[in-house]
Amino acid sequence: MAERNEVVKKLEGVFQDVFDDDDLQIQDSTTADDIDEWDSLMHVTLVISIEKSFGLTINASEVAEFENVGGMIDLIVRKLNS
Amino acid sequence: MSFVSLNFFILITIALPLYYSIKRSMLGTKLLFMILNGIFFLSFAQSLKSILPLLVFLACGYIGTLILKKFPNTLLMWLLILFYVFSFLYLKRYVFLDFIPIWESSFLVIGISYMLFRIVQLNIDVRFNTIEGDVSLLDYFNFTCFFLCIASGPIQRYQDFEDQQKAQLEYQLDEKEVFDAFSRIITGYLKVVFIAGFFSSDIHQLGYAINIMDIQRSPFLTLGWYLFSVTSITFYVYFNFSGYMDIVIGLGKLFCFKLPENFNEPFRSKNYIEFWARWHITLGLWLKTYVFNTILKVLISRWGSKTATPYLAVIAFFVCFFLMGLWHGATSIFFLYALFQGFGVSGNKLYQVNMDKYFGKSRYKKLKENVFYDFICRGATFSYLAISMTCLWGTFGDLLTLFGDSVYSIMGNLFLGFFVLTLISSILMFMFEMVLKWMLLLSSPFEKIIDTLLFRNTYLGAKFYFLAYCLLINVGAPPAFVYQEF
Repeated sequence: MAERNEVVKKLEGVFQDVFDDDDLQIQDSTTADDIDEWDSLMHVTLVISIEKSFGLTINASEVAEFENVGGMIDLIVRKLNS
Repeated sequence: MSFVSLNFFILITIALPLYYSIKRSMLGTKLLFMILNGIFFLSFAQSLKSILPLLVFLACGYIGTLILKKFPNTLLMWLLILFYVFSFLYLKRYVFLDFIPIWESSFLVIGISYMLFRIVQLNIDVRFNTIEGDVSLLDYFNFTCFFLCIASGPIQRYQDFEDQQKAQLEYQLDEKEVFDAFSRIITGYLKVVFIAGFFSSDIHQLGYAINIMDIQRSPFLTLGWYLFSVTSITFYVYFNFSGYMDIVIGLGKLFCFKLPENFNEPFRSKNYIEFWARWHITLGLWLKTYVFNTILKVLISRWGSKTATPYLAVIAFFVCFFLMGLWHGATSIFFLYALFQGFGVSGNKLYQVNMDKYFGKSRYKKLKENVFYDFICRGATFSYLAISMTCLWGTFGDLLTLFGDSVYSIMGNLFLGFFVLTLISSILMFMFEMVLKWMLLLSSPFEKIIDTLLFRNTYLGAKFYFLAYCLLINVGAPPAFVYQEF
């Protein structure tokens, strides 16, 4: 059973790695508008990194449904627990 | 049935009270929409024979959906998508499939381009179990043939359409929303009838530039008229298509559907990538979700590295927008249009990557904030779009007639035209923004008056009477919706 807190911590590491910023902190409400570098290219890079780190697959429609980091976390938790 | 026809007006006048009398019943509203969709769809048919291919295309989409629900297999999904795309290309009579015979010369293909997007999306999401529950034939028909969106979008995902079907049961429109819906519908009609009508007059067409060339034989005058024509064509497409969207979204609101927006001030775009996120937004989103992200994911998974990834995005952008360009039309000139779009967006990405690399992120960011650079970029975006629009209205023959019979001469004139139009549009856009700023400043003391019921009703009434006047002086064929042809 994956805990949400653990997922958040691990996901923060993925964000720091992808955006090359060790001080980057994420919150449920964080969106692409809050991070300068977060464009469509970084979005796909982020999805691939999440897939690798958590060992899961995210399909096209799910990628589109990410409205904020909170949505991302919920999806990861749901996928890990299914 | 055109949205500007009396028949459509009668259909809506009957449908709205019926809708509100059965609004609380899910099955009732679904059946009502089925009837409306059926009437609207069949109104384009000349005979049963003429709609048969499109009905078969739709039936195949539904059978494919059922098969994927039962056997969610990726290879099967791709084979089905290939089949849909091939059927689409065949029915739209793409030139490279001309060698395959066709049994009927004139059959209905209304909305097939948009049906293709909906069917492909449905099949992908059914395969990956993103759609919960079964897809009934009634839901499938209403989704693919929704009368407000069948001809020119907006393109919605099945999940979003279903959510709205459910949400509309409980949704209660308030007075302001009804007012805004009517106001938007009238604005839409005004854009289509009056503004787009103005830009579609003979003087704004490429043919006029060709006539000027024939009479004057002056290359500069020809180039000037050419730029005037492509600018007019761009405005025509914008006002026609965005006006159509205003009508659709306004009517959707009256049926308690919150349809997605398709335009967000596209001429304020500072680059071509941004432009496609502001123009035909739902098409851009669809392509980003199902084509761009998929291609880029495959490329990054295989060859991704910190240095290579931005260049892989250039490739993904090219493929995605080249395909989007091809989707617009079946003749060979659309190949040139597709190249324009592919090179425009991917070239834009390549430019950004290199500017980032050579200037550094912070200096490039500062440069983008510079007003002069900002307006030059806006002008260049508009200019590139306008020149690419030549392909939608002209032929290779027109370009040869206008600019001489060598590729160098055509390319030279197009490059020169691009720079001239960039300069002119940058200046005009800057002046427009200044005027707008001053108007906002001057109107600020009257904000309270503008917001009163009396003022808003007077404004709506004025728009309505102006529309009635435009329709009265323009008694002829109603203006066509340009994207219906794509």
